[in-house]
Amino acid sequence: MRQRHLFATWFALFGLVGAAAVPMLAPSAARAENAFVLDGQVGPAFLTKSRSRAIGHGFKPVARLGLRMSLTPRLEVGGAVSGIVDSSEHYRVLGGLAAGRFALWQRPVFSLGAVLGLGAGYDADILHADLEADAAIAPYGFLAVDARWSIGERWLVGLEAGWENVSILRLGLLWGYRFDG
Amino acid sequence: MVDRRPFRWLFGLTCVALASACGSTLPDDVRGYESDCIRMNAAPIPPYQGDPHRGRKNVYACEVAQEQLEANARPFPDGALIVKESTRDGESHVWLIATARKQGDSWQWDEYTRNFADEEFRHILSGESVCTGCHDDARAADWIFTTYDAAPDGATCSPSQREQCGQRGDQEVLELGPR
Repeated sequence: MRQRHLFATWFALFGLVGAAAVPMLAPSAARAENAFVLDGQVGPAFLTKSRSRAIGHGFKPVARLGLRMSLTPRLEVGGAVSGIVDSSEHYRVLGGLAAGRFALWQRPVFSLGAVLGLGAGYDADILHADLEADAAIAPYGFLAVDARWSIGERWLVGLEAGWENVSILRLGLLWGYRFDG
Repeated sequence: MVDRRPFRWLFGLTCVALASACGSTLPDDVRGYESDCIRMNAAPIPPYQGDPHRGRKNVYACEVAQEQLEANARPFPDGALIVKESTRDGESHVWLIATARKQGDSWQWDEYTRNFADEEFRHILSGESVCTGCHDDARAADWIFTTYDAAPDGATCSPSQREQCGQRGDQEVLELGPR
């Protein structure tokens, strides 16, 4: 029951974010000249629900792949696939999220941004304090701060620190590629 | 001129990511301890407040003669291996294995943990002082709290007589208190 309420809350939030973004899409897309950012992130994640104190159980590699459209010079909105890279089903954190990035501070070759993602994914055991999943699907979300540098015209590299699914702390290297749609 | 600072971060993060795959698994001489070694406690040792091993515990002695265990003679011989397993309340699988390995006059302490029953135990990175800080209280008993606890009818806890031993109460160290 609690899980269902949580899912409903996430779903409502997801809807609100989507509804808020729609009015911006049409005018901004033209203004931003259909610029897209394809980016990825890899790095270690600390699994806060792990009971095992072994590094190999408490830390896992994570990866995320995202595609966002620049609506304004500061705002990018799109989607991402995010997950833990591990063969065990217990650690199978894999979900799809609607994601947005807002540049809090921008310089010609540097940008500090806040990233928010909301979605759903596989309900892995490691996401729970009792290490037992309640359902097949669970609401997913992440909140992150990134710092990225532009290299040349199109490439981006940077770092991201984030909190994911209320149980994963991640730090990763990100890279991206900017292209016109 | 390309800014190289991001690449230094990349190198550092790669090292951390690789380290996450590390942590040795149970040594071969520890695997199979339930059948190869002698259980010292008659019944599982219950958890207590501040329990560093969090759960119901069993302690096994390996490479120690049955007669020495029955006599509770200390010190343990060189090469002795003491294995403590812990199972959390409400669960059926062992989540922690702590080992003490006698090497000459001193002990080597290690701990291995896991999250799930079908997962390998992995060594945890903690200094031996975490173990010795507590086991120092059992210095007089060669650093091992648990004493051999024979079954009420006088039967011993050898692997072949495990079921008889399992009927006994929940005590561990008679003089030193449970750990």
